[in-house]
Amino acid sequence: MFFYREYIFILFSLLPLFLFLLIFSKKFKKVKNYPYVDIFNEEEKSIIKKDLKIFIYIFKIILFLLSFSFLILFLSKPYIRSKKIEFLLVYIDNTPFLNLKSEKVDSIIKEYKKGNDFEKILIFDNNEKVDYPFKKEKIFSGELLEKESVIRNYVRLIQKINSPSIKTVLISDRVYERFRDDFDFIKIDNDFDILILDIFPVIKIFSKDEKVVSLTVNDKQEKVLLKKGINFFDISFDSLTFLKVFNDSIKFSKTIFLKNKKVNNLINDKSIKIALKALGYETGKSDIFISEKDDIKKGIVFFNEYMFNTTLGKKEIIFKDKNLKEVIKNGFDNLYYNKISNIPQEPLIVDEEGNKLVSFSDEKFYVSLPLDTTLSNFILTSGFLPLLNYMLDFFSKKNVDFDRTIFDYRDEILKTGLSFSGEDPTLKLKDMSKIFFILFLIATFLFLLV
Amino acid sequence: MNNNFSEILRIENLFLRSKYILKGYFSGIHKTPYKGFSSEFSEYREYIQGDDFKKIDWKVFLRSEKLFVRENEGESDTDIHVFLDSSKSMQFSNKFEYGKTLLFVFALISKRQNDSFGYSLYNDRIRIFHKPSKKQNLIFQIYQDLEKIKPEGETEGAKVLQGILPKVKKSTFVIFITDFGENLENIMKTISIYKVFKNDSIVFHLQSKEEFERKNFENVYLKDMETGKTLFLDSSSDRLKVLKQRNERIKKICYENGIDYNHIMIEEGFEKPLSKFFLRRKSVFL
Repeated sequence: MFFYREYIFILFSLLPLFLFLLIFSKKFKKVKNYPYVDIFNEEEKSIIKKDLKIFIYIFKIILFLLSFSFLILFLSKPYIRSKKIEFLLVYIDNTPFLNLKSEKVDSIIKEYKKGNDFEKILIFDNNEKVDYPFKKEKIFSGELLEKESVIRNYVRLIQKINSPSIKTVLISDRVYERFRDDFDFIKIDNDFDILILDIFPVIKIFSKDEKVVSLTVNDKQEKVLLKKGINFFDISFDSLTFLKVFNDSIKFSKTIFLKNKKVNNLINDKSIKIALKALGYETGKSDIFISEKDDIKKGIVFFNEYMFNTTLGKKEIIFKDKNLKEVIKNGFDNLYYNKISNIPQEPLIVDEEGNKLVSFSDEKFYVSLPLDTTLSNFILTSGFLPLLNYMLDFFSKKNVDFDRTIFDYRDEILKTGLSFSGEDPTLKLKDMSKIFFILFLIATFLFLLV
Repeated sequence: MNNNFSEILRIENLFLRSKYILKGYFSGIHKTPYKGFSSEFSEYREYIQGDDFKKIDWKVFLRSEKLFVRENEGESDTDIHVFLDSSKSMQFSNKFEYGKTLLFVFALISKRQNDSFGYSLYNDRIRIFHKPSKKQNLIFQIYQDLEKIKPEGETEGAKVLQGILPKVKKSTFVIFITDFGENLENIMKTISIYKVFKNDSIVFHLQSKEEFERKNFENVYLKDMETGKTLFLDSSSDRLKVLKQRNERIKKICYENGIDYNHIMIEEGFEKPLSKFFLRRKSVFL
């Protein structure tokens, strides 16, 4: 016999309680003074034979011991070997795209039954118990919960069932690889023609085949060509409330601002104003600053304290940031300057002599090139606008705040073949505690009766 | 007199209480208690040493020159000895107060009839022993003894009464006032021995209705007032039956041994049980 709970511990914890009850049991009863109680002993001797009385006394002790023992055995949850596993627990992570039919669940259970017999089969749809066998056809689909809370509920349920002989199966269309434990995980792989996978920093759309579909963003609709696989679309909108591609759509409960198109421009320079307008930015109250002083928290600093540079002429620009190179391309080729400031931060663009033209610190871009056209032609080069756009885009995109759970989920449901099995074999045991509970009740009843 | 015991108990003074009982009792049966010295001649007998000189008939002496004592009816000396159980169990429902009053009533009757009166109080030992006498201040002495004594200790009447037996004269009235809160076989054996010595044994078995209340016997721990021993009584057997059976046994043993058995429920008061007793024994006490 195997005890699921530590019976010695139970014994020692119950023993003082029993002794306490034995010692104080008299005090719990009514005590009345009486002139001479031996009357009853004397007379009863003539009614009940002495031997019989001793027998009853011994019988009472035996019943007490039996009752106590059965209680310990019941609380110790004893198990014996069996041909069957006590529980098969099927836990369904009920997600919006799961669309799991009860037939499919039935077939999964049948598969498990081929290998083992189960005393009881329990099916839970998130935390709700589902009657099994299914009375009518049912499709499992529901609200999306965080994976952590699903696992928490799942583990709690296993602890509540509290059996050493339990086969646990988790069914989901999500990936639970990082929660890999001693349970079986079945990943449901559904087919999707079109599926929106992400909206930021670019719109990601999965398509099963190449096709032309209509893409609706907020109220605007346009035709797009989707290639087979994952397609990327650059964001050309600042906010989002509704997105629809073919038959898949997402409606957001609140408007998601993908870009912050406001800039607090502290430089009264005509060229900057024109550039901001061209890029679609408005000037006003914002946490993104454009300044000539290093006293801002976030934004672009154009240095106005210039060092004299003896060298004047066209320089070869060396990029440290690959993205930046891509953005600016060769827009700086025609750059001429004769003065430059000494900026200390992480360099992004340097010339071949090591002068830092653009550098970056946590939340600030430092541009050492003069805005003054008498000292450089920086704002006139074709690289200026893309550089400004790149820098402002960097800040404005960071402000995007929305719940990514749905997109993480959409991303995961396309992954296939991630089912796994628990490594340890499930013990085949039978719970005997109910029998001992019944025996405990019988023994206690007899003890009180005698 | 329809007053029950609890009402009579309100009279704190034992002397007044007993007189009140006696007055009521005797007026109830319309017979005078003051019989005293009878002038009715009964017989002459020869003077023996120790006889009261007053009883010598001097006229007969002058005629016969022998000393004769004149005896009148009702004047023959009777010794009455009362044994009162003063163990702790007698405290239950004021049985001891009842017993004390009963003892005092007998003392008053004895005095009025000019009988010698002795008394003993016992528990597991002799607490007070007073041999029968006719002393003038006897009543006062009894009063003093009874006022100060409290019920305590265990009952071992069988042993104690056997110890007293040699001190008690033969052919006297012995009255036992007890609740039989001890081993029944032993105490009955001892009381029976008194009868063997030609004593007229009278037993007053005091019990209270409270002892028969059913709630005393169901799922309670009964604590012995004397020993402190507890006994759990469940509702499985009929304890009242056991009590009644015991009383029947006492009655039967008394009957078989010629002992006058009087069972008294103290709540009944004095009138009914005493009337019953005195009517039966009027030749002795009236």
